[in-house]
Amino acid sequence: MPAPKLVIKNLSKNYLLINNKTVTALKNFNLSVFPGEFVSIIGPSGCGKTTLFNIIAGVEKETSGTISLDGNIENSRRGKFGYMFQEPLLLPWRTVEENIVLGLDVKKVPKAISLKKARSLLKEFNLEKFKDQYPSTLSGGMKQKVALLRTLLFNDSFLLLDEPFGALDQITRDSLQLWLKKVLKKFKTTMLFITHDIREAKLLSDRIIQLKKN
Amino acid sequence: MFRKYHWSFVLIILLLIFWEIYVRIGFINVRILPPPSHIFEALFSHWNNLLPHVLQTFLETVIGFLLATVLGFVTAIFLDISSKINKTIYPLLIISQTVPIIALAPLLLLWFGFGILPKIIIVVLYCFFPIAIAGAGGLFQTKKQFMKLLMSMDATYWQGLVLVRLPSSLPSFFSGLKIAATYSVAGAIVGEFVGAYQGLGVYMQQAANSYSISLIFASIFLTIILSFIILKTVMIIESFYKY
Repeated sequence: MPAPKLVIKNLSKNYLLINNKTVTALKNFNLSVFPGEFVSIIGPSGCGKTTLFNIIAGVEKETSGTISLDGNIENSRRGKFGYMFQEPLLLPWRTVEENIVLGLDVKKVPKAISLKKARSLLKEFNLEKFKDQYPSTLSGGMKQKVALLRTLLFNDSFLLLDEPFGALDQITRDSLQLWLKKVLKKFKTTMLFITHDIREAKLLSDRIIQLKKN
Repeated sequence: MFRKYHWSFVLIILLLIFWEIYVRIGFINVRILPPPSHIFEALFSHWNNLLPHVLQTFLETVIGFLLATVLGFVTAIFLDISSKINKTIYPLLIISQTVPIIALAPLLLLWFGFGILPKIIIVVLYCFFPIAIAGAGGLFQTKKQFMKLLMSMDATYWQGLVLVRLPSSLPSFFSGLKIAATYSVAGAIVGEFVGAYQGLGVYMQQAANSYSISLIFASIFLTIILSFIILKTVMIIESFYKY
């Protein structure tokens, strides 16, 4: 058995409210994810799924616990994951291909190189004809595809997808699930995936974890 | 533009015609309120005298407006950098706006003389505030989720500013610029009223002193045209950034 890629130990998160009470969003959460594994996290809304992702990605600070990547405890994890949020969060003033390279802009990759990468990625998934369109002209499903490609181009080794298909209708959802499977075949991606749809979780994942409300 | 606003043009023409007829019928003395035809006649016959004043006012306005834009922009970013700086500067900005600028004009005249500088300062004082406040407002309003996305990519503050926050705040920045554009010419004229060698403000006063009411109206008309040119320029620049 290979060594786990991600190890989360005793992770807890409390929020301090204005009236000095604390709310526990996560309590002693443990998880190991192995290289190339697709792990789905299901649970009712409000059980701390998004908080967990925010903490893993370094967007929020944990109250206690440790997170290790490839065997080393990492205190600052920003930039180490490809994090895709519930909303597509495409920049309205950028075209599809310019949106896809946002992460590479942050990494200071020259535009000539990053746009070339974006175009070959779009070509690979037959989305080339959309490259010069603005997000306002795209359907909900297309927006999510673009957001996923942006996430992949930033980091294709470890993805965190937070209910990427949650806001879509069932037909679009089904086709996007198949599309995601196709995309992941091309990359050796390790994946943490939040959903509240058990069917979706069963279709896509190697392992399913259920989070309960505290 | 004419197609979009043609009813507005019709309304303006109708009002002018109404004004013309009202005065011509004799409801009001022509010396008190000249009809539009007299005003335009005065405008054309005095055009050679008016032109240097128009150019002077326009120059003061443009320089002041550009300076206010740069200052407003920089201030907006300063207000955004940290909440400490924001809480230190913001009240001062508000207080500064409660000072009547028209009362500062004589003071600026004493300090800087009759030249162009005090007028430019007054234009800056008029225009700076709406630009800074609208720009800062736009920067604060950037969707929190976008900031989280950038954080997850390990972007620095400046990368976030350049890649996301400045472009997303452009619409509010431009609405501040448009408000400022409509104030700008009036600011220059206030400066000239107090004392100047040249400019529409001076010309208006001279016209008033010699009871040339037509010429006062002609100057007001030119003020409107100047304001409109500046406003339209801002709108054209804005249209390049529309998405």
